[in-house]
Amino acid sequence: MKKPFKLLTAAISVSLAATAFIAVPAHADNASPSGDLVLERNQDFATFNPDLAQNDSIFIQQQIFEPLFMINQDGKNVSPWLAKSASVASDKVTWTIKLRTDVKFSDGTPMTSADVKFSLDTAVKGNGWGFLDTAIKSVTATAPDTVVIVTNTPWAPLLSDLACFSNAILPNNYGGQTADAFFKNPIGTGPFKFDSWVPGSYIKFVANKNYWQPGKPYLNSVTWKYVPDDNTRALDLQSGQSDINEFPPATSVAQLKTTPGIVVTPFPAAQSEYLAMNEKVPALADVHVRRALSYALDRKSIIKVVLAGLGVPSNSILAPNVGYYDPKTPGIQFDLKKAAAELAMSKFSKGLKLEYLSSSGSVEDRAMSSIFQADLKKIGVTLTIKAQEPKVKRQTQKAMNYQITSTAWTMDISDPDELMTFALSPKEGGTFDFYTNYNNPSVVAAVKAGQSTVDPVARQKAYSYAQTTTANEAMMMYVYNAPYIYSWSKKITGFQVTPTLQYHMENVKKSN
Amino acid sequence: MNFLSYTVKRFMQLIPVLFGISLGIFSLIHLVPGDPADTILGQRADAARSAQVHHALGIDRPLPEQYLSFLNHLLHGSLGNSFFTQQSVASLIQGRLAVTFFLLIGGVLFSILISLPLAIFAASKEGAVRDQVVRVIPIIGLGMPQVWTGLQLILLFGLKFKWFPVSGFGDTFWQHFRSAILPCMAIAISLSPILIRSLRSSILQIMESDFVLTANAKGLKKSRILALHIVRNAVIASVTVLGVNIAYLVGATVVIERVFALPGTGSLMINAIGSRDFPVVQGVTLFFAIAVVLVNFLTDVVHAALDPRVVIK
Repeated sequence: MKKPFKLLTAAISVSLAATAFIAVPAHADNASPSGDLVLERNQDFATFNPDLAQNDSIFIQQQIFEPLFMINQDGKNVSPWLAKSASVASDKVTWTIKLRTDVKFSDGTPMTSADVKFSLDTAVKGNGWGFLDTAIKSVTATAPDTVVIVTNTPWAPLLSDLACFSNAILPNNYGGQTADAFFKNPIGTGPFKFDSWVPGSYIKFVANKNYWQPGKPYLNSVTWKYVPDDNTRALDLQSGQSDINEFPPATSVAQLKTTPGIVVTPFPAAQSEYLAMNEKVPALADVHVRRALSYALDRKSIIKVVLAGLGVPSNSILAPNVGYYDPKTPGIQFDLKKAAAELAMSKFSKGLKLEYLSSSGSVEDRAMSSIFQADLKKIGVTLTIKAQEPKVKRQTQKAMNYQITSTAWTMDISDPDELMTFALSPKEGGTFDFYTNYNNPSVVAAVKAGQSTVDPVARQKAYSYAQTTTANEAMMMYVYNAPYIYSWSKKITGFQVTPTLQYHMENVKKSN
Repeated sequence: MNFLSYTVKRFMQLIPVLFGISLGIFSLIHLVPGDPADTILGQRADAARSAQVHHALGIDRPLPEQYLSFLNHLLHGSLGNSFFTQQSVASLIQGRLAVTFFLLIGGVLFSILISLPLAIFAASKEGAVRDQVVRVIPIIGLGMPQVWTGLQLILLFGLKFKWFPVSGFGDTFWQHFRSAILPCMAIAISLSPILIRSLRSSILQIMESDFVLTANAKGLKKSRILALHIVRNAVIASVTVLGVNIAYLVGATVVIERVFALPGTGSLMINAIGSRDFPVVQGVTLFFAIAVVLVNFLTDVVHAALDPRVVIK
């Protein structure tokens, strides 16, 4: 019983030691931030409430609100952020979190354990992201700089969960306001503070002079502008009307690279593109059919067409930038001979007809389904393509009235637990394993072991087993891992994005 | 008195139309599959949490009950609240109306500025080269997609000459004005072809009418005949054409708002449809439907005022 505890303590200590660089000794007022940055994106900001946030709001909220722990640049682990350290008792369920004592909210009020308790208690009850915190039994503020968290069972992903944006630290009791009033004019510990918001147009933040990292942020203001059209965003950047373009289409990268004054960078991303197969369809319940289909998927051609070559064929349910990803996972790759051989071993060796449900208006889906259709024909499988509006497609998928459909996942936390539970534990995940109806009790057991086993070596063993088994059984077709693409003006330096989409705008500078 | 009874009768006709519109809008948005809970919960939505969201939003109630509640809110002057931002739909529309009005009014003004001189120029010598050239313009204009037209205007006047901003709406009136020029031009380029055709044929028709012949015989100046008699009468027909095309114009603003990243009602509606924000879709559609119905009503009334022969049969 003692060994795992020692290993976990060692793992946490290593993680904390590796990030000693952020251990700032004392607070210092920010000297003089300068430069006004405009970042353009194709999604309109929706809410400051972390519990209701989706991609439209998450990256923006993170400039105002910060969590206790922060996902590292490699996306695989976390480091203390508003917390100073974490340790777990020998009972493996009692965690003591020490807080930084130099953190202030943007109105100058110091952050204390009361704020942390309030924030985590609120997050646990959340309808939106509260499911990430189901392991948390209680949060107690034992001293102004100490919080004790007790989990229901030993819970290895706790620090990763605490690093999620949904567990950000807000002022106790919303600073004496109602939640609605607070989220209209929020206060946080982040590098920027709220300035103004014109829905449908832009949201503007200005430097938080009380920020706890001395000398940061370097920028005077950041404006997040909603520009839905890809071409207009590219032209805005070219004309100098914006500084950063979020997610230009992969197919435009070659052209952008030749544009003077513009930098284009793909950042490694913890995201995966899959093709789900509905096992309620008799043919798709046959593992040989699933393997045959997966062998017939020409991932490299798809990457060439859809991502202009900017991506890698996927071999595991986990993306390479997720903790416990196993590079040796035997994910099926394109091989038409093996596809024909697998089909011959199935009950459908004489050929079969299947339907691909694609998202109307999606260039990616259209290209992927057409390439797949052409290759399947060569092994005697007729694939028809049916397109539905994205929300309708989603409903069809949830009702399990589809046969094959595209689906994707982007990690919210560095630990694989969230995805593994969602995708491989039919009961706990609540979605019949990505609406595939796949169910392998030994994989479910491995996912549970990964949650509760504190020993990193044992966790790796459990997650490797889950990755290998699901790859062999072609639980889904793993298609590709695409990067996050950004283009920006050469006036901008220090812009980095983590695999889980933290922007760290406090490190960004803009020259004249 | 005749005009007054026409106006009252025409107004009474609006009541069943508006009721039908409210029912149509409600039915359509609820018939379309798609779940608002998916927007709120994202991909992580499971059945149990989706059900909680449905209950909180009140969309687990029977449809007739939801419709009655929608009507009840309407009668109390409320369009409801957005499912996602919790802001009132009326305030969301209000915040974006300025952009749409800029586009509609600017688009119509620019269209008239382009169409009227060209139509007069063409009609002044029917069948001549000038007429042939002007008649080709509508064909080219109708063939250019608004997205493409918008991007060409941005490339030329935004990027190359830097006269106008590439996108956005600015914060001050002057910035709004500058930002609206290119979008309004894009709208005018797509609307003018219809106006030019209608104005040109009306002018030609009126030029042959008895009162123009009489005016000519009386020795009135050609410019005076054109301004006072021909153009005035030709504009009557064009007012109807503009009225009929108001729906097209509203549709055009949706596309133009996207290209120029303008925070108008069009983008509000597109985003609301995509996320299945029922109250916002209902509110914006109803608002535009009422606006179109009212504009058509006013068009008829103006037409009746300008032309006493117009009656309801």
